[in-house]
Order: sequence, then C-alpha cells, then structure tokens
Amino acid sequence: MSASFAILQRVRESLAIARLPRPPMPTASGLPEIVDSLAVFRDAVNALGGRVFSPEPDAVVGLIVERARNAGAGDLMAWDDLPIPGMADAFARAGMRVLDAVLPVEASGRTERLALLEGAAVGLTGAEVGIAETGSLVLASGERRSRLAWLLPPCHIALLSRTRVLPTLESVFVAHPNLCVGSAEVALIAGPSRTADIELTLTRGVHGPRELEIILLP
Amino acid sequence: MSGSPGLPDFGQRVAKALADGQLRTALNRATGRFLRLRAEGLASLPDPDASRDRARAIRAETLASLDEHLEQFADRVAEVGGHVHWAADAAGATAIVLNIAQRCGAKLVVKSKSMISEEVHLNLALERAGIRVVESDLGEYIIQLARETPSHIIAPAIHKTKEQVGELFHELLGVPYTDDPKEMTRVARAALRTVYLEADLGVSGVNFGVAENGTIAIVTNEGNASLATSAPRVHVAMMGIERIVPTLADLAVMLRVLARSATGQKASVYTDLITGPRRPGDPDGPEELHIVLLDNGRSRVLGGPSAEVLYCIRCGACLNACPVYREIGGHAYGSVYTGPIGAVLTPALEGIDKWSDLPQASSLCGACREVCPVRIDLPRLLLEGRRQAAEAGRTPLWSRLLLRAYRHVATRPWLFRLALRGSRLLTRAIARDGWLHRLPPPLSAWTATRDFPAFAERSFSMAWRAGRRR
Repeated sequence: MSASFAILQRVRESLAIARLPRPPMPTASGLPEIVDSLAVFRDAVNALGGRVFSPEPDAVVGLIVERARNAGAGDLMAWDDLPIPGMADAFARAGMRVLDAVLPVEASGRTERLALLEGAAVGLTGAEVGIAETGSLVLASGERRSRLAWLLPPCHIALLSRTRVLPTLESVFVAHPNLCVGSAEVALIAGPSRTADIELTLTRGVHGPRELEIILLP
Repeated sequence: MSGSPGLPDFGQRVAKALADGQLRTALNRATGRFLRLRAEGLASLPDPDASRDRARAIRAETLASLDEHLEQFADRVAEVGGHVHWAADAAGATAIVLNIAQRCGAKLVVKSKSMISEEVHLNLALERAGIRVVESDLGEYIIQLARETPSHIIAPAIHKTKEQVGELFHELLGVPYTDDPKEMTRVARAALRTVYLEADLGVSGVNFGVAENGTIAIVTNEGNASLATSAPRVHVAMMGIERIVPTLADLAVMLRVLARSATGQKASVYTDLITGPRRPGDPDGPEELHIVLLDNGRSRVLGGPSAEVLYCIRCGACLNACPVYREIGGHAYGSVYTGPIGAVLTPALEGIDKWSDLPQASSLCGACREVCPVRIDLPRLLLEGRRQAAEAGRTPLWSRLLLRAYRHVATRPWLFRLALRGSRLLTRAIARDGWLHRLPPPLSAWTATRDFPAFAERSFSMAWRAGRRR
C-alpha cells in the first residue's frame, strides 16, 4: 500500500465521521474599494519605504542609468527582454556591465556563477502588474527573466507600465488567469526586504534588496 | 527539542519563565505591539469581519473535501515537473528529506522557516547524517546559534534582548560586539549570503498549496525563502496535508487576513508563488522541486472532536492575545507549537497522555477566539482537551477530590449557603485591609505571589434578593 493511498484512505475515513463547523460563505466580499489604483499604489509603496518615479517618455533611459549609478552600479543584473530601446548602449556608455545571469544546470559551476552575480549592485527587472491595495509588484520568472535579479543585488529597480496597476490580488488573478501556470516563480513584492526579529526594531535589506525603486513607464 | 512534560515539569518551566523578568518585559513589549499592529491592519479593511468569515468558510469547505483537493494538488504538482512525497509520520518525513539530500550529495542545507521541519525535528536528522543545516530567517538564525528553540510562530527570537544577540554574534561569529539591531542584521546578511551561494539544498515551509494548479505559496518579510528556494540546485518544501486552498482566488482571501493578523501588514514583503522547478529557458531556479506532504496525526484529528484546529493558518495572533502566553512565553509550553493553538494542536497530534497539562494553560477568557483570522473556537477546543485529560485519568487527585467536594456542596443550596457564610466569617476574621496575605498549604501556592480577597459582606444572591424586594 503506497503512502499516498494510506493517507488519503485515513482522510476519507475521518471525513465520513467528521463534525466540522461549516459556516456559510458570507455574501460580502470584504474587499477594499479602490477607485484610483495608481494613486493608492504610489502611496502604499512610499509607506513601505520604496520609491516611485514617473519620468517623461524620453527621460526613461537616462533615469534608469542615473538610479543605477546612484546605487553604485558597476555590475548589474538585468532582464534582457526589457522594452527599452537603447538600454544596453546606455549602460555601456556609463561604464556599467550587465552580468550573464544564466546558472549552469549541473551542480558544478553553480556556486561560482552565483558568487559572481552576488557582486552586482543593481537588479533591473520589469513587472507584470502592480497591486494598489498592498503596494505590491508582481514579477514572473521566465525566459531571459532571472528571479535572482530581484533578490541578490542590494538595489532593485523595477519597470512597471502605469496602465498595469490593478486594485487587488483577486483582480490580478482574474485579469491574468495563467500567471502561475506560465511561470515557475511569481513573486509579489511589497517594499524592500525587512525584518523586526531583534527587539522588533525595523531594519531594511536583510536578505533581499534594501532599496526598491519603481519606474512607471508612460 | 520537545520536552516530555509531566505536570511537575510543566510547573517548573512555568515557574522558571515567571521568574525571568527580562523575558516578561520582552514578551509584554512584543505581544502588545503585535496586537496593536493587528488591530490597525484589520482596520484598513472596509469590513474585516467579512474577510475573516470568508477565510473561515474557505477553510471549512476545503477540509470537508480534503481528499479531493489533495489528489488534485498532487496531480498538478506532478504535471509541472515537481515531485510529491507523502509522509505518514515524522520519521517518514525526515527519511524522505535525508534521502533527497544524500542523493544529491548535499553537504550544506539552507532553510527558511518551517514549522513542519520543527515538528519532525528535521535539523537533528540531517546533522546526525553529517549534513550542515543553517537557518536563514534572522530570528531562527539567532536561536540556532544560541541552540534554542522558537518561542513564537512568527517571531522565533522574541525572548532575546538585543544585548544577548550582540553577545551571541560576538562570540560565535567573531565580529566586534554591538547592540545595534541594524548592524547585527548586516552581519547576519553577510554571513548568510555565503550559505545561500554554497548550499546544495534549500528547505522551506509552505503557507498554502493551491489545488487547482499545484502552486505553493510561501510568505516572508526578509526574502529568505525566495533566496533559499532560488539559489540552491534542489528545493524541498514541507507542508502539512491540511494546508491546502482550492483556488488562487481563495489564496488571495487567506493572504489578506494572514499578514494583517500576524503583523498588521497589508501583505508580507515577499509572497513567492512557486509552480514547479526551473523550466527550459529559465536562467535560474532549482532544477528539482520536492514537496513533502506530512500527515503525522492530522488525518486522525480530522475525524475527531478537535478537527477545527486544522483550520489554523499559523498567524500567531492567538499567542499575542493570550494572557497566559504573554506571561510565560513559548518555551514553557515545551512543545513546538505554543500558545492557545499549541495547547490544542500538540495534544491533538501527539496524544493527551504526554501533553495533558497544556490545555490547562488557559484562563478560557476567549481572547484567542476573538483575534483568530479563521475564528477557531479555541476555548471549546481547550475544554475538549481538558475533558480528554480527565477521561484519561490525567487529572491530579487533589483536583478531583476538590471538584467532587465542590459539586456536593454546590448542588445543595442549604449547604452552599452555610459554606458561604462560614467562608465569609473566616476570611473576614483573618483578613487585613480586606485581603489575605498568607494562607497555609496548599492554598499558599496562591498567596506566595499574590493576595486573595476576603469574601464580601453580602453575597451576590443576598444583594440580588434585596434588590428584588425594592
């Protein structure tokens, strides 16, 4: 008898005699009412200690380079499918190097590659959507989209289309039903990494980035 | 890790905790702060009770057909390339993880917080096999260095002062002493970075498994689960069989009340939704994903009188609200799960014989039920635990005799009135300023740490009768 069969069998036997309280599903959704998603999103991110920028269309590349330089970037990790023309050239002109973020499949060489990536000062990524209620970014891994880019570097710069901010997580799952099926990793990120494990003192940047900067694309 | 508490052990642990002034200060500060943050967090919702009712209804519906949801979950995980392992008990779970670790030649394991791994004592099993295990949650890292166990579900090192952590880091990590939490956090970040990069295996817990698509959701504020499940070549996720939600829409409801109930946040900083291992073309992520589904008594609890305890989503709010937990802290319970939920869950999973004292660690005030995001009737479950303890003959003789005597008196009104009059005369005769400061044994157990009030001049029933006449 397999372990799964035995456990499921016990679950079924218990359910046959179970006396679980079964309250009815309430009609009220309990969802917050959010009218201006973009404004609520911006306030929520700021309250979490992140920053939001809204550059003009022709200033986007310049702003990205400026924020990366501000974070001390020599090396950076970056998604290489970002819809920003001229990005690679701008980094090269600024003397910044985009690291190869592809990890080897085999165990050998993985640690070395990770150690190299650990030196990146900035991670530059896109974002699927923003969530107004929580100030969260929704990021999805995939081809040319490294998940370590939003985790390893001390500064994370995320590009988000300003038309893609939705009120709640529920609305994200409704609008993007294949989000999780389509990616091995989907991260909802609300502000910079933080801890309060030592005497409840809030400290930013414990394992993930200390800085979270969101650039809203026109 | 777990004690084997008979009543004297439990009493000794409680006495030790109550005598520790530093612990009680830390507990009071932390639990008070968590409660305030929780209240503020829920107040940010237009109808917090509707969200909690919804969360409760989802838990109830899920468990009522748990077998179907589990099967669907396991099928979906397999479809996206993950491996599902079923563990009947703690030994089964550790054997599965050890087997995976040895097969991939693991020497170093990085862990993000997992109560299941504590429940099955995974670290011990791995270390016995010569594998180094490092906890990555800052609180867990601290208590691992101190060779202690978690004292709170979401704040494992709640009992340690910053000076104690500073000493610990100075001694064990060889860094200059500091009591600045920011500096200590920086030290821990640097130390743990090396671990992430070199670990062969990442072990995590699971907050929820989503049946409809095989996604597992893991929440942290530090980002440690994200790194522990992304950098190492193999990821093992451990979850109890009850931690299922049917759909992503249900998950959204649960996450909304989980973060607010735990820390008052609208959302935890990192919510990782993991659906299978690294895919072809992905630049990173683990090559293998293993999900360990642990039963360890849950399927049996489901059919018993304490089944409602399985609704729990491990937010820790009942710990913060409990007047007993707030005084004695987590370690006094002697079990992995502490506070009101631990006092119900531990005996339910491991048997009342070993844990008959835990359901007594409650005043039955109901504060736990008031703050529970899924409205578990914890006082009822605590009473159920006491009933089982009494049935198993685990009630001390003096308590049984006393209760029998009380029943004899209380069911005879003339005798009750007589006893009342006697007590009133006696206590008022020996009281000073209306209080009894010292009583002979066994009543001295009460007066050793507090006074006892003398009986009132007029009993409630006397006042009641007088009021009715007017």
